[in-house]
This record gives sequence, structure tokens and C-alpha cells, in this order.
Amino acid sequence: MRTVLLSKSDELYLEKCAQEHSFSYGIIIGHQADVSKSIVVHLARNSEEDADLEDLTDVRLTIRDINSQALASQWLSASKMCPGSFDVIGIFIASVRPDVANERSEEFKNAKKVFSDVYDLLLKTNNSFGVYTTDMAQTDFVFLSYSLADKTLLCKNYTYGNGGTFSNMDFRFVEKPFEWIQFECNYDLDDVIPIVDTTRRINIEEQFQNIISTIRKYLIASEVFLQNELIDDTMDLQTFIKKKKLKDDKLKTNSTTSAGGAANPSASSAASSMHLLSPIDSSSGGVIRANIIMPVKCQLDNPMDIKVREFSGTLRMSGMIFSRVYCNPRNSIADVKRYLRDDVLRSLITRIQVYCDGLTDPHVSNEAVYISEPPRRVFFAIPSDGSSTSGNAVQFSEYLFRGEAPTVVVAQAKQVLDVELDPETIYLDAEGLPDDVNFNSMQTDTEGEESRRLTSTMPKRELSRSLYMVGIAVALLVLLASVALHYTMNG
Amino acid sequence: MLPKLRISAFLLKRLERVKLQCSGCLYGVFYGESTLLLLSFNVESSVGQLNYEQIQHKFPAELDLCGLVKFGDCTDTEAHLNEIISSVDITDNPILLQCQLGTLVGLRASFFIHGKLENVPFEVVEAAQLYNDFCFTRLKCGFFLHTLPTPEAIAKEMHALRKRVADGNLVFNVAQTKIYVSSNSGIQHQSFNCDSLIESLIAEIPTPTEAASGDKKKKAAAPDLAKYYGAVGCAYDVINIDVLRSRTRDFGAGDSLPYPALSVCITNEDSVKQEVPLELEAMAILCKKTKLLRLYDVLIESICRSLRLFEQCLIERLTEQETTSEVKLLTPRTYHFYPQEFGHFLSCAYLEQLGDDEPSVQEKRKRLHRQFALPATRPYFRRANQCRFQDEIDAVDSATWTPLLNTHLGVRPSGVTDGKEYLVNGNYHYYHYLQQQVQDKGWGCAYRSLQTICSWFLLQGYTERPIPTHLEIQEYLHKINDKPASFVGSSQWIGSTELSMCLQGFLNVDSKILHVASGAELSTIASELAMHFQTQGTPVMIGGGVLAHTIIGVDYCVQTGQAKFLILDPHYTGPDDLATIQIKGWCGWKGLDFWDKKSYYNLCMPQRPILY
Repeated sequence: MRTVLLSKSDELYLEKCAQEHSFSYGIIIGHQADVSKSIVVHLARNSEEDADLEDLTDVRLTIRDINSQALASQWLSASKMCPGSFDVIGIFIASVRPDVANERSEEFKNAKKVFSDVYDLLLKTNNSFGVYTTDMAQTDFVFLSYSLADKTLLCKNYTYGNGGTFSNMDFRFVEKPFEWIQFECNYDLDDVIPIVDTTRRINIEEQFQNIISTIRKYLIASEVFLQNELIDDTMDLQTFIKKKKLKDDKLKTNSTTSAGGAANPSASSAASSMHLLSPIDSSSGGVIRANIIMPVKCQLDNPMDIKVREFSGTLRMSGMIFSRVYCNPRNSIADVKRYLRDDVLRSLITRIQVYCDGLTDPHVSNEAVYISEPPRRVFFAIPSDGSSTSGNAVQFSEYLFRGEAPTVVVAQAKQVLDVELDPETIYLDAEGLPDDVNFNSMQTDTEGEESRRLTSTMPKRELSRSLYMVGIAVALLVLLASVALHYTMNG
Repeated sequence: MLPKLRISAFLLKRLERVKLQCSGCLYGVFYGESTLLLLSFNVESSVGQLNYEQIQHKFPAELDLCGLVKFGDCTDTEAHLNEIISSVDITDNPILLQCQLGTLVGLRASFFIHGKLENVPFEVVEAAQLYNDFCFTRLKCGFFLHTLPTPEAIAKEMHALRKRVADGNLVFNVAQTKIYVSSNSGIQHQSFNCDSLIESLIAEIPTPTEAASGDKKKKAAAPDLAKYYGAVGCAYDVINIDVLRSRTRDFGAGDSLPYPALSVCITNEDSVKQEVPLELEAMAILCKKTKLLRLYDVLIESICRSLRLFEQCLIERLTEQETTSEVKLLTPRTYHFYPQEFGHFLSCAYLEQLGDDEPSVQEKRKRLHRQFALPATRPYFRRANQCRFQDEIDAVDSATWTPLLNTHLGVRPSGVTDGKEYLVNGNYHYYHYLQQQVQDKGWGCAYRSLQTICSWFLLQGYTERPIPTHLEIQEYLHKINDKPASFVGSSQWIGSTELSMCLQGFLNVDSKILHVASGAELSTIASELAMHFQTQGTPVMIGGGVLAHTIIGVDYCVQTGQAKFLILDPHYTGPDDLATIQIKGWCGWKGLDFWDKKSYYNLCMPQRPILY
């Protein structure tokens, strides 16, 4: 049976949600530690309807009233923000009433419908759902239901399909904070894709889809090195780290003896250069570095089947995607590699989506050179519980266009993840601002043509939904006030 | 210190055959402390024309221009001494060989030391030692070339591509192993250190039998890599390499600026460009005592050579073509050749869709023959001549059945005292009874002999026609009115005359028919057979009484007249197991007593067509 591991702070959070709002719901962000264990990384209450429900705390909300649209949109946004090793793994409910955590209650029966509604919405509204990962889309989810009245938690496994089924699932609160091993990587997008169909005006969205599918294909075929070494997929992470430490210690003692004694100094330095195992030491802060290695082939499957093609346009990518994921020591190396690939792909898809969402016209104008600049990835730590800001905190990410202030991230994190961030604590320099120099130097043969920066016509971020709601709320208030005024004046 | 000089026995034999006064370039490998092994040469294609620039990229990487050879009384100016000497990059001491016409007597070798010639002795390296001391790497990878169809644009884009190849981000994987070779980290493997040699890498490559049986004892002996990853016709170990590219940039030091994020540039081109897939195969030669640390650079160089070959053939095609508005580039492909005379590999790039018989392609081949002092009467560089690698044969084998190749290699010696062996020249497949589920026991021996002969022509590059089946042979004989309709599908024998007709019909090959009145008289034709194998080198079909055999060699002593025949017996009905076939004598040396004294015999001796 699958087990869900929660931390103490998760319990506090559920309690708080139930207390403050009497009925709340939201998403669970989690990590698959091994086949049978999922770790809850973060719970985030859905705040979409807060505005509507001002002063309506006495309304007795039930599972039936859950806005699946709001939940699905939070789900999607959160998936985009969490690292490749994490996912939205389910839904939670926190209520003052006991029946939400009672399997036999009428209330519980409605939960199935919420799941299938949300899942359907996810599939429908986002055709790339499932393309997010290099792996398969998940169909098993976690359902947590907390009742403040009797302080109980109900935990169920939901399986999508045939109307959905609930099955039993264990859960455990863990005292110690979860241990995370951090991996970093970057993926250099140094590719040129020819645009073959030139009969039509170039559609950026289509071309970006092209990029995604090309890179996804290559990522799946890629190999990942850890600390410049190929590690066997079947090894688990903690064994790898143990071995690594042993080897590093050996290297260190070797080098000290050779430096001090008359031993051949070239031998030891060469030994390390041959193995190039840059030890996991303080300089990298315990972070393990990964490299993504791709086969150099024209075609991955059928090399004989390729022909010369004509084209009159190109899509030239430049720059990189920075990746940072957190893994559990119980993960296998194969998991780690998959998470890293997923993270790169997720970040690529997300920034392209954010970019395309803001385009007014998906067609490229007839200029010779058109540079588009998707937003870059920035990171922020998720406070594990209010007090501790220990180094163990995991980081999520958001995307910022050139010129956008980090406050955008603060608002987004509040809305989607229900966390309060200090704009000062956002890590802005994992990725630098895109460099146009690359493109300009490549255009020397077509000189004289103005290369047009697009940042000015850069898509505007979608008007945040909450802002929209605030507007409506204000209008409502005005209406109520005027009605009240009307009655008082009449009265 | 003067380098030590070694010369491959193959090269000496080739030098001996040059009968015209001329000069040429020498190609060799530097290895060890300071040893130069000369492996190859080419002669000027026409008087006064240097051509190493056209030809050098065809050699495996590490086999470089290192000096000059003069045949006969060629003067220094005629030999372009100074130009060649100044083009030698790999050493400050170029080599000069002076060779008499048609003989090795008086062959002199000297190094240039500070502008002066200094004679040096040399050592001859025989084939067995070459196979033992050297190996080849063979890698495959693919790039896309985005270019305008003009020579200038291709040259520019190719230059950019080569720069990219050499940017240090490529990573090589030794096929079948988890050994990766990269520019920054060297080679990661627990048993290697900075002093490890190529031979220890070879020892790490598993061979299929090892993997299958897990036999520890076998592993203790030197792995016979050539048998599984070598090429037909030589015993070199071949290391297969896969190419990857690191897509992760080095993490800079703590406070360096972050790398820029993704941006995309969409360009509308004014003119139509073309995307040419470049799937290349590149080879390099390495002494097995070379340090592993060198491997990365050698592999990069081999890719660059291949790219230059591709560039050459793309540009040549453009300059040959009439300039029309519609120029469609063709896909280049690498072909490796292993001419028996050379003792090393040679690679050419040919364009797909441009057949071997196109005049321009023929012309280029002819030039190549001339440059390598090869006769223009036999094919060496047709596509069908391309080298066959064991692992590919094995891969094809599992999909489609292929007969055993060159079954005579390793048979017990004939035992003729003072005899000289004259053998079939080139590769053949052994066809015998019951193969391909054909129930031809008792009647199909001549058909099988014909198939063996056809396989020789196929493997030597004379034809691309598949081996004819029994039915095709019968249908053809009926078609030319040699046999009645009832013959088709029957189990009737055919003889040497029918064979010669089929060879004519299928392959356009003429045959000489020789009659021998009785088996006892076969010794009288031994010298004629010896001459046949020397000049033609094709397998011979012999039919007598009710039996047909294939003769693939003769061991003959001129003084005593004693002779034995190397027989390939098509009557074998067992499985294709080389050991059985050789031990039981289905392929082996036979004396005169093998033949029926009373029967008369007919020999069908196929003659090589003149083709290049």
C-alpha cells in the first residue's frame, strides 16, 4: 500500500486552514521517494474564491461547492512552479466539520466527482498535460481530508478512470524535517531548426511547439552524468553519495600525501583529472552537478531515411535553461536522471507557454529577423514552516520577463502556493538576461537589416485573476453600499 | 635524436610495383618515443601536379603526410621536394625515400635534419605485427548542414561546423561499454589512470561470446576483438565509438555572471537554403601503446577529416554541375575501403543518388586508382567494394542468413614440399547443399559452385546483383534455349558450360573452359591454375563425372611438379560451422588422388572483366 509522509508543519497548516476559513481546499505538492512512499512537500490552499466569500464565513460550504475550475487552474500553475522532482499529487480539504474525514459520510462521496472534474479539466484545458514529463502522465492521486472537529485526517488513493476509484492509503507524520539532496544542471539550447513550410506566414506558437517536441525527443534519448560520471541507473542515491564520499576522501588523502612527501605529484593530480570527480565539497554547498549528454545524430531512429530539405527560414535558439531539483536519498539514480530531464522540459514548456499566452498575434511580421525572448527562470525558497529558514528549504521557480520586478513572483507565489515571500529573497541570477549579441553576430551576412527587439511588444502577463476578482468585489461593495445607502436614506 | 623508421611490408610491395619515373607523398604514423611507421603513399596524378591535398582526408586520422618518395631518377624539383617538405606538419624531420623502378634493391631512406639529408636504416613491419600493434577507431555521428547551395557558403558553414565539433563539448562512448571519453574529464573508469594505454581500453570491450558464456578463462587471454569488431580481409581490432554532446555548460566559478536564458531568433531568409544531413563515419589509426589521454583529440580529428571529405565532395559536385537556378544538394555518405594491397583503411565520401557508373564518379575513381598506383582494370573503390565490418555482418546475420566467408582461412597446410601457394584473390561465401531450405542434395553441387563464384564477384565489387537461386539459374538456361521448359523446377544437374553461360548472362563475365581428359592428368594443369589465380584470382568450378567442386587455390612446386588443390566442396550438408568444415575437409587441400582417374574433367575459369 502506498504511504504518504507528512511533516508536522503540514498538520499545523491544515489546522490553520480549517480554523481561519472553516472550509478550505487546495492542492498537495509532493515527491515520490520510492515506489510506495510519497512525501508531501507543500500544501497550498486555494484562495480563488476568497474575494467572493467576504463576510460569508457562516455559509456552510461542502465538498460539492468546490470550484473545480479554480482548483484545476491552481493545479496547473503550481505544476509549472515546482521542480521536476515534485508534482501536484492530489487535493486536500480542511474543514471544521467532522463528516469530511468520514469515509461513510454523504460528503465524502462527492470527493470522487471533484477529482474527475479536475482531471478532465486538466486534460481539456491543457493539451500538454502529460507532455510535461518525459515519462507518463500520472493517474494516481492523493486525497487528504482533515476535520478540525475531531482532529482526524483521512487519506485515500484516487485512481482516475471509469468514474474513479478510492483505495486505502497510509499516512504518517514525520518529526524530523525531510532530507533533500539538491541537484543542479543547465541545458544549453544551441540549436537551429529550419522552418520548412514557408507558404504561410510563420506562426510562432507552432514553431515553439516544434522546439518543444524536438527537445523532448532528444531529452528522452539523453544520458545524464552526475559529477561528470556515468552512474548506473539501478544504484540508489544514498549508496551513490556514500561511495562518492569514500572516493573523495581517498583523493584528498592522496593529494595531501603527495604534496607533502616525495610522491610523484603528477600521478595524483592526473588521477583526479582522469576521474574528474570534482568532490562534492563545501564549494558547491553539497549540491550535486549534473550534465546532460545527447547523442549526436541526424535522426534518432532511422538514420538512413533522411533527405536534403529546402527551407527559407530558421529558428535559432540560444541561451540555456537552468535546472535545480531536490531528491530523496531513497530515489534511484534513474529517478534522479528522469527528474532532471523533466525539470528542463517543464521549464522550457512553461516559459514558452507564458510567452505565447501573452502574444496578441501569433504570426511573425515580415521582418527578416524576429527575436523573441521568453521569460527567464527565477527561484525562491518555500518556507517549510514559519519559523525555520534553514538551508534545507526547497526552492520553486517562477518566470520573469525582461524588466519585470520580482514583486510579480511574490504575488504569484501568494496566489498559487499560499506563501508569503520577501521580494529581496528571490534568486534572480540563476539565468542571465538573454543576449542578443549571439544573434547579431550570426547576422553579419544580412547586415543592414534592423533586428527588432520584441521586449517592447513583449506579451503582457495575463491580467491576474485575483486582480480581476478584486475589481468585481469592489464593484459589489459599491453596489451593496449604494443599496444600503438607499435604504438608510429611505428609512 | 633521429626518429626510428619502420616501413609496412604492404607499402614496400606497392613501391616495388611502380615502374615509371615519378614522385609521390608518404603517409605515416608517429608513435612511441619517436618511431615513424610508413604505411602508405600516393603518386602525382599527372606530371607536375600535387595532390596530397585532395587525398589526405581519405586517410584515417593520425595517418599523416610525412615525406616524399622518388622513383627512379626524379629530380628534386620534379618531385616538388620543397613544397611537400614544407607541407609536412607532423614532424620537423620529413622523410625521403628513394626507390629504383620496379625493385626494392637500393631503396634508400633518409630524414631531413636541419635542411640536410641523413640516411637511416629501416625495419620492415609484416602484416601480423601491424595487426598486433595497431588498431582503428570507427565512430558514427550525424550533423545537419544548413547552407546555401554555393561552394563559398558550404565552405563557410563547414568551417563553422568543424569549429563546433572541436569546442570541447563532444563526449565519446566506447560502444558496448560504459566508458566515456570527454575533453575535461578524460576517461572515467576505475581501472584507468593517466598512464593507461589504448590496449587496456581494448581489454575492457566485451566480445559477444564473453557476454554470452561469461567464460572467465577466455577473458584472461587477449580478447580477439578483431573477430567481432574487425573488418573482413584484415585482423585489425576496431574500436567502435558513439558520439554524444554535452548540453550542459560548465558551471562557472562562484561569482561569475550567469549564462543567458533562452531566447529564440526567427529568421526569414532571402534565398532558399538547404538542410543536408551529414551522417558520417570516421576512422583513425592508433598504436595500441598510445596513451588513452590522446584518444579524445584523435577522435575529434577523425570527425574533422570526415567533414572535410564531405565538404570536398559537395563542392566538387557544385563546380562540375552546370549552373542552373535549381541546385539541389545531395546527401554525402562515408564509405570505408580496405584494399588488400594497402594494409590500412581508406575512406571516401560519395553522394547518394549519384551512381558508381556516372561518368564524373568514374572519372574520380580512375584518378584515385592512378594516385594510389593501382591498376585501372579492377574495382577498388566502387560502393560494392566497401569494407565489411564483422559487427555489421553479425547484425545482418541475425536478420537474414549469410553463408560463411572465406572458409579456407586457417586450414591445415597442404604439405607440398617447396610448393608455392596460389590462392583465390579476395572474398567469397561458401555455398553448399541444403542451404536456404533448398533440397538440392544429390543434384545441386554445380549450382552451389556457381553461387560461390557469384559471391566472389559480388564481394569484389564487380556487381550488385544478388546471388542467383537455383530456379533463376534454371529459368535463365531455359530462356537462352539451352534447356527445355521441363528443366525449370527440376532436379537436373548442370555442368561447367552451363556455368559459363550463366556467368555471362548474370554478370557479363567471360570464362575460359579447360578440358582435362582424365583425373590423372590434372597435375598437368597445375601451372595453368597457378597462373589463373595470379592473374584472375577468381574461384574455379571443376566438373567431372557426376561431381562438381570449387577450386580456390593450388599449391605447386615447379621443380617436382607436385601439386595440391584447395577444394571447396559444395556437397557438405551440415550446418555452417567453420571448425567442422575445416576438420572434416569440406574445405581443404586435396592431392591428385581426390580426382577420379577415369573421368574427364571440365574447368570453368571465370575471367575478371576490366572495370574500375
